[in-house]
Amino acid sequence: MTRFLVRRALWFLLTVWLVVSVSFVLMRAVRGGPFSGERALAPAIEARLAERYHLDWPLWKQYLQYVGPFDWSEHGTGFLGGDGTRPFGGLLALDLGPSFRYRDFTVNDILAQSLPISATLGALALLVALALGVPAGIFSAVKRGSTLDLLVRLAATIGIALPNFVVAGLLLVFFVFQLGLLPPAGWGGLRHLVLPAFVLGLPYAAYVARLVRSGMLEVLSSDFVRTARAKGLPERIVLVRHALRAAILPLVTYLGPATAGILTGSLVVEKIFAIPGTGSHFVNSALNRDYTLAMGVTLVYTVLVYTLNLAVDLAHALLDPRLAPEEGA
Amino acid sequence: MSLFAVHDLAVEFPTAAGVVRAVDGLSFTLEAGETLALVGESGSGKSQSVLALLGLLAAPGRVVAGRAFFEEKNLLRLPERELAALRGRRLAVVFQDPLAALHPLLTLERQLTEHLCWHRRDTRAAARAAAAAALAEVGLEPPERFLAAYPHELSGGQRQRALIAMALLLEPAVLFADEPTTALDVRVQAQVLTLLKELQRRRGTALVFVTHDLGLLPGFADRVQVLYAGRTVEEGPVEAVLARPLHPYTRGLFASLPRLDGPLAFPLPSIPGAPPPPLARPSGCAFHPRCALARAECRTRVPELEEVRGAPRRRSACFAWPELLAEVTH
Amino acid sequence: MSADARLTGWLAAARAVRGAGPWRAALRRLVADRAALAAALFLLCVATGSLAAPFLPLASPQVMQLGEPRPPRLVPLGDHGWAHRVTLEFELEEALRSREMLARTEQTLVALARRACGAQARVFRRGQREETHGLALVLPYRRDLDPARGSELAARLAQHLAAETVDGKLHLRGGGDVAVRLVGASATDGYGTTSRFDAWLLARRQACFGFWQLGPLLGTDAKGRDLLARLVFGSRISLAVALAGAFVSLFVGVVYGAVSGYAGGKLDERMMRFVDVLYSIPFLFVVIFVITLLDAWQAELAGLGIGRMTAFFLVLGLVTWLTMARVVRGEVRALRQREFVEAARVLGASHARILAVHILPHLLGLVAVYLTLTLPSVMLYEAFLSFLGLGVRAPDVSWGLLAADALEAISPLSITWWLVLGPALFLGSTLLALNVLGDGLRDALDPRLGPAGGAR
Repeated sequence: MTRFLVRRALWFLLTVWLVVSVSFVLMRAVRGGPFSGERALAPAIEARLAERYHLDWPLWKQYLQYVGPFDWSEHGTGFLGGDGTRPFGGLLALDLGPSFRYRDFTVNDILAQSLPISATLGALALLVALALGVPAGIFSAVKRGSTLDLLVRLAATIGIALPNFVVAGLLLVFFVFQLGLLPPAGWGGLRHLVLPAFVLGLPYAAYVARLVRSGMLEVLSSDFVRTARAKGLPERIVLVRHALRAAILPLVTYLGPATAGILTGSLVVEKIFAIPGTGSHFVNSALNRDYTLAMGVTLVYTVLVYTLNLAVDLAHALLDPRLAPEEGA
Repeated sequence: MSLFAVHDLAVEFPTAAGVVRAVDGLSFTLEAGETLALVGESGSGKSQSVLALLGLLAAPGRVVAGRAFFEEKNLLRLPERELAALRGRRLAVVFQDPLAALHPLLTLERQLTEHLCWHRRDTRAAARAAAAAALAEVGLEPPERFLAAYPHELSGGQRQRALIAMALLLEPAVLFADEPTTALDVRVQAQVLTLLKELQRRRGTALVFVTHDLGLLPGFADRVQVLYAGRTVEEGPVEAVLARPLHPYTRGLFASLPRLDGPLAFPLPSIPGAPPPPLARPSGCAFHPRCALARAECRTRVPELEEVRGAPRRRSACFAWPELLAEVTH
Repeated sequence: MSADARLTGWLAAARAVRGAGPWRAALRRLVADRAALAAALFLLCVATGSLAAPFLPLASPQVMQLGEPRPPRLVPLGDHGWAHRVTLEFELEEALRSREMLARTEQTLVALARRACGAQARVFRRGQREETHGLALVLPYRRDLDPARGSELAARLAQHLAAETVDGKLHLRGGGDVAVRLVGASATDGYGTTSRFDAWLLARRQACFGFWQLGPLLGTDAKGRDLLARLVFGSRISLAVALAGAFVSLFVGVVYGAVSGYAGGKLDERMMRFVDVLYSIPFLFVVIFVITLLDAWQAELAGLGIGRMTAFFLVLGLVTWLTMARVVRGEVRALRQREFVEAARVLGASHARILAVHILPHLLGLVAVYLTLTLPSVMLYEAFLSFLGLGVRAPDVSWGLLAADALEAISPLSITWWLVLGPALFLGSTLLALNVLGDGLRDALDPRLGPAGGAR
């Protein structure tokens, strides 16, 4: 088990390192540097900025500075010529560097502020997805062929097909502007969360419903469910303890990609509803060429998704005694 | 008064291509402790009859006619809740594929004890003890190891024994076994059958044994009903039917069994043709296109299952049974 | 019967049997699946409409007009202001009052225009009700007539006019003279068509529908542009990017998956491990990141001949190939162990030949299914990115961009719901149709796969 985890972690780190290095080179190799996109700066200011962000250093030094774990600047590690006040820095010291755009903040600062917000939104969206999707899927499977089933399937197909900003637009028009029930944007209380979480979670609710439905249908016609009924057990026990238990496995596997998708979708949702989360920062960083912030957010999200996928695989192995973790995923 | 009596059971499946009459007028009676074998090829309706009697027919199948009496109730008209109360407790069933029949994610203990707790309101500890005893009885020793096991960790024979233990835990009056040994290899097959017989004898359970393998009948079943195209074509005590089959189909079936006592017949005799597809059954007697004794009336009239004069416990659905009776058979 | 004769008899009987090949059976199943069939037909319509966009009698998608966004109106085909024109302004020395004179002047000018440039013109009057002091000659837009593109139309027309003018007065057909001067020439290019195919389609449209076009069936946006027209013309970019990206994805995915699956062993394991790790990276982030880099590297890329759009769909394709690779690899692995591959090896076929001749045909069905399922995801990516401002940019139009515009325009004061409805309808229905078709193809090609098959 530990061997499996260690192996996976190593592969992951290797790939991440590759991605970081390649991106780093590409970023720094851009002609004109990261500040060329803005209005022309006075040469003195530009020089100072270059100095501040160490853009005048040789590439290998900039790279090592970024990756760490030692800080090469004047306030950095003692044995590298600094005065020792900030001995560690860089990725290996979990320091994602300074933001190129928000000049008084480091990427870590920005993330510390915005990540909790995005995390809350994401968790709520996942909750919406499960709370809507699982019951819908069960009802749809049990009452197969009925009108309810048809409606659920139709809603699910539409939910999957429509992109979330379109759904957001339609819901905005209806709930916010016509009915005036919910606030259109901003971040403050529970009311502000309802619509964004719903918009974000809806396509996943649709997919979950579909998954649960097909899983249940397959399981409901299986032999072991027939055995359970043959033992005279009441239908509700048969449904929950026997059918759902077996049908839930693909859903657990889906949680991994679902979370990744929610993270992705949050980019758009945060923009629409003006939520100051990590996603909107990321989009802005892309528009403003704030490379460190963009890289930092990508790294954090990648690690998050990877860890989640790993957790899902472990959970899967736990839930299904037929699998050993080495075979899982 | 028989323990279990079925009259004219008919089961239909509406399909896109038409209505399939899977079971067409099945009747039998069962006494306590008796073993009845339902024999027939795939598609003869034997499995569907068992499912129908227990209310386990998969949609869109439905029972369209018949009565089934057990403990003074007509099972086919019983509301689901009452039927469920009987299932597992008074009527049990063992299915064909033991791996598929067991829940892959639950331990044996769970699967064995849950209906105990439900029907008999046992505590978990009491149910566990009962389950352990049952496992020991079917030869799965030590019971603790097997209780904690998952189905995929056991061999085919062990799984089937576990299923039998599960079925007999609550001491049902009737056990239905739907081809319980088909998925097992021959040696294990024999073990399981011996086990079944032993348990049955010990507890006095009646057994309805569905199979397509005629070789299993002697020494195991008391009576046999042969099904063809959804109908019973012959019925009687096993030894008598084996010695002198009174229906051309049964005769053909037995003739095609290779025998160890006697010269090797080559080519092995077989019944020409194939069973009719359920939607295109021949008029009159369903077997007539393949029957060597077919006559004009076989094409137009459906032979009823009638008692054979001179052999009161035997019935045959063939116009020619008197000729077959008069023949000298081996 | 001798053994030989029996054998011949059997062979003859076997030859007489016509089996239905797997493709025929699959096609039959697909056609029987009415939802998938409807989806396929729908997509065909969408593709045709998109390709033939200049031919459809739509309003202009780019000409801006003053005014607020207007809601949809069910206005049929009619003359609603053809915004794709060349206008020649004539001034009359004296305001004409007589209707007959006016008619003759108009006729003469139209004839002149025909001689000058070969196109049929329409005349509009300038002036108050009873006094017309100017005439505008409107011609269907043609690039060679566009004064902004250096057309000599005005000069030629002036020449013809001068030729017919005597003593400063134009001699009219049917009698009479009137003093008329050419004072201006302008052009409005309503459709911005650049390719010859599009120009040809436009010409056919003018021949077919004349100056008629559909009214604002889906409303107009804040700049007065017709939404329906923008959606139809925008579909060209959305669909093109989706197809191009999907094909890139297909190519990379199939090659990678086939090599990995066929090679097997360590190489396969390593290749798939790589895919697994890549899978865990949230794609959109990578795409956005890469696009930012692309923007910075624009100059270098332009030097290589890769425009922004090309780079864009290359990136999209490179991000979506993973699923295809996985699926192809699984299939190739399974196929590699089948007997016919062994048989081919025994007969001396090379690996390449086996891959190409034996394995690839089996993949066609699978690839078709996953292509149909990759298209929506690429389309969604494009829509997302355009929405965020990182994808397609003005003046190009795409569905994502239209949705973004819509959401920006909405506010409690102006609830322009139709601006959201339009892109929602088009995007949603196309994506839905693609998904339904993909599911149908999957069910048709192997009814055992997929949720519907398992339950039986």
